[in-house]
Amino acid sequence: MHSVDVSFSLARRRLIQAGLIGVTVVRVPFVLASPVVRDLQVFDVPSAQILLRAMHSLFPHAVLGDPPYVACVRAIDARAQQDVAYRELIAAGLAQLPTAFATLDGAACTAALAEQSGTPFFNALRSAAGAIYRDPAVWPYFGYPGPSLGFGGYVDRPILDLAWLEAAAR
Amino acid sequence: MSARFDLDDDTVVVVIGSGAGGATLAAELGRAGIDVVCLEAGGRVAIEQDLPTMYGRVKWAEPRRVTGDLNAHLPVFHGRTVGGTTVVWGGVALRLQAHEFAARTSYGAVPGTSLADWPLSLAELDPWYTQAEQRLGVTGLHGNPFLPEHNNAKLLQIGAERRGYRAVSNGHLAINAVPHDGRPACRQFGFCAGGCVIGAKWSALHAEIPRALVSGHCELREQVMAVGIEHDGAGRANGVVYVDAQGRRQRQRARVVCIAANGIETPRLLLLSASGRFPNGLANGSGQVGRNYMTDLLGRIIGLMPGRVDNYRGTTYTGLVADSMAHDPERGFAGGYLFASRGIHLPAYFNEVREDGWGPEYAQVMEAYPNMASAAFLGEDMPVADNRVELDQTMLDQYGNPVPSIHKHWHANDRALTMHALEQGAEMFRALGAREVFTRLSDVAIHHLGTCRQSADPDTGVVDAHGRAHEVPNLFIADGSQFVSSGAAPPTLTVVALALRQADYLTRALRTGEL
Repeated sequence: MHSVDVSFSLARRRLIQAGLIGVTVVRVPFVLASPVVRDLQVFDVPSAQILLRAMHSLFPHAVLGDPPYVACVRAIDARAQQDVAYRELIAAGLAQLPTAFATLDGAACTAALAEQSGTPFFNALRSAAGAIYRDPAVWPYFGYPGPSLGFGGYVDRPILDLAWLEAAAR
Repeated sequence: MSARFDLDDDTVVVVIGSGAGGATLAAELGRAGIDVVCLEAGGRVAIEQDLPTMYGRVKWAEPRRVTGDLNAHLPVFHGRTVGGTTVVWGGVALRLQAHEFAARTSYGAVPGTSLADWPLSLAELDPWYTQAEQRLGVTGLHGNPFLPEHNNAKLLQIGAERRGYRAVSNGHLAINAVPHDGRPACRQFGFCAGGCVIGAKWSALHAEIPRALVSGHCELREQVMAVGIEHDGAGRANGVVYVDAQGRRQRQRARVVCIAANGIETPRLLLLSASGRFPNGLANGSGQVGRNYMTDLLGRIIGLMPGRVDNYRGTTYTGLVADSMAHDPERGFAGGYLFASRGIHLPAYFNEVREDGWGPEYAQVMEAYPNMASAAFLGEDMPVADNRVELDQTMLDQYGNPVPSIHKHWHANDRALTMHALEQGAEMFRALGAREVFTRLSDVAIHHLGTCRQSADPDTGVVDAHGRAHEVPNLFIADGSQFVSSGAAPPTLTVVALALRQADYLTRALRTGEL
């Protein structure tokens, strides 16, 4: 089960209403149960659920919902198809996690992952989860618009707007 | 346009590498009517605004063995592409300082270092620096306007001023604020370090390679890997062996050979070129080839500010704080350091604060991205004889040659300087009201210096003050390998100035028949 921080989501929606964050592709997870990732090539459904939970736990941003994290799990599966050593590393690592990992609460997941911290398995998971920040679909949530070539750069746009600093100085 | 030369043409100057040193040299020699064959290991890449894939496409990805304090899991970064590392450089174009040319005299004996003075002074290099600055169109100098200020640069400047710094500016960058040298003005894309799409940033790719080719005296051969330099019975270089894109070994005859393959591959090529006459490697009678490896000290300071910064907007490195570049023994270490503002894109921010960060707290740091201000410091790195590039005979590359083994330990002076710079950098951000500040020393090397150092005495260095090998009179080094000290400034402007000076020297020597 996912624990969704509802207050955080509401805060986020207020920001959207106030126009402070773009509204593009923000997914608020109303469905609390994790979607089942069934169609992986290497990992079975229970393994997929553990991986998905681990992706969330490594970089928890509840408001993003599952899709960017599911993409990470698919990327792990795709690499495991190509790379035997990687597949064995992930499989062996999964066996080290508690069998109920996918259903633990956030703090318990974090604690279980912390026990693996620094291992090649953990580093592989962290690296895989970090891909969410390369996912253009999540960029608006972080206030990052991505490449500027499409609109000609910031040359004719404000790039010096430090009103908060001036306000603090007064 | 592009010239073509026969492999057997022994009148050409062969330049190995097409980056800051090699391409500038090729352009100047070509302009003087001297025939040049420029060899580049990489190919041309299309520049796109996608940092992770850009680095992947331009980096030198051949295997290396890395030991010591550098991160063995990350590449020892430099370019393997037409234009070399200048394709992805930040553009900060500063001179070395007078005291850095006389590092040993200025700093005294620092135990455990191989500090030495350059056989060259700032005064001697001054006219070449001026030429380099004019050529690169450096902002804020020679009548060139500054680039516009943006949040991240302004914050560093204000923070510095609040802390009492005075040598604060909006940067001296080789990025056009106005059109210059046939290249357009900057559009503030914010992707300087991934390659400039329009060539507003000076790079060998956009400025020097075209200049060299237009001269009609330069042939650029791409995707060819130099694997050895040959010499005649008199000990003069007479050819370069390379492997072309089809995997064929070729030999280009040469009148003069200039190596500008960056501080790892330049010494490696000399070591690979050992012969009966030069058993320790070509031009390595002093034993200094590969030694005294300096990377510059590079650290990161990140502050989470009370308001938005949006530091992905505009030129990546812009604001500069130069006060700390002075040598001040009161601080307890030799040498100085520079602060520069540094924009970070979200995909890269993930590994900036910590390379092993994760969990709910780290997720909060990531969510603070819009409020993130960032700066870097660049500091003088002590030369140490045993920090070096060697050949690893147990590991071969795709050409069957031993890979470079790169060893680098931080000296106590490096650690003291780093601690000082990171503390002072953090204070600047705190003076702006940052709620959290993160600092760390980078363990990725991006500058590679000192591995074929200049010296007046042939016993203590590899090349003279013109980059000419002491032992091989028609062999030259034209990159950062020839640095004696790293200084606190980024090396590129100095590499260009040295290449311009070397081109002038070579041109005269070729015309008089001395070479």
